[in-house]
Amino acid sequence: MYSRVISLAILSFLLTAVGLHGDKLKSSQGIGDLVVTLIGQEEQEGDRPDGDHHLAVVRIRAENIGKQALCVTLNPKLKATFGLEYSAYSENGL
Amino acid sequence: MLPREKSEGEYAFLVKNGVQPLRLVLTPSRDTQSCSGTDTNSAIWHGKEAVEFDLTGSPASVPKIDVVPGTSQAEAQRARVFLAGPKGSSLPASTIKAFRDHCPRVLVAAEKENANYTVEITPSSFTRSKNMVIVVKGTGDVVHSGAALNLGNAVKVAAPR
Repeated sequence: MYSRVISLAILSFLLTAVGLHGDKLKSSQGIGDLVVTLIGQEEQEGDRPDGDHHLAVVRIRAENIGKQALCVTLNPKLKATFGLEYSAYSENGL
Repeated sequence: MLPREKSEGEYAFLVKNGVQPLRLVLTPSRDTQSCSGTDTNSAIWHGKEAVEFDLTGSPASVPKIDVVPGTSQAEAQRARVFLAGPKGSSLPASTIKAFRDHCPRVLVAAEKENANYTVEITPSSFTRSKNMVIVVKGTGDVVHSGAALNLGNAVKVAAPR
């Protein structure tokens, strides 16, 4: 009897964990009443600021789905291969 | 941001060649979304510390817009526009945003040399009631000039078809 309860508990924990991980990868995610949607990405290799780097552009949409005004500032970070992490080079329209 | 208001924009990252973007992480700078001053009743606490978007997933989950300029046939057919302010000055971000919102099929070029058209926009001011627009083709011919009260309308009529 106890083993069944423990098994069910472990199973529900695992399902929850998988669900949370899956939620992180959705193209639309919410923070409070703000829904942020990833609408595209672009690598502008033709517009290189220098010969060694290029611009990676990520486009998003933010929507206030609540009933109150929101004042939110988001700090963007780009995680990349080789353990690299980049801060935004420029922002446009957000 | 008001209720039901939407805003679109983009973040640009200067990435070393050969490095692939994996994830975009957006972290709110404050713990609350409330606006200061009289909007204190709208305090809403975040349920998450940050949101993360996978940039390596399938094309369905991560819509790629353009990969390499010049290699895509669809992109090659899109007009590339260089936006300039009066007398060659740079334009405010709101003007560029208006152009991208109203003319999504047009690529905004960062350098004049890469553009098919140059669009010079003189935003309205205290001394000028209308937004002035001049569109110059790469050959130097003026293909459109006009004025509009609304910046969005000015941009719409300026967009090369």
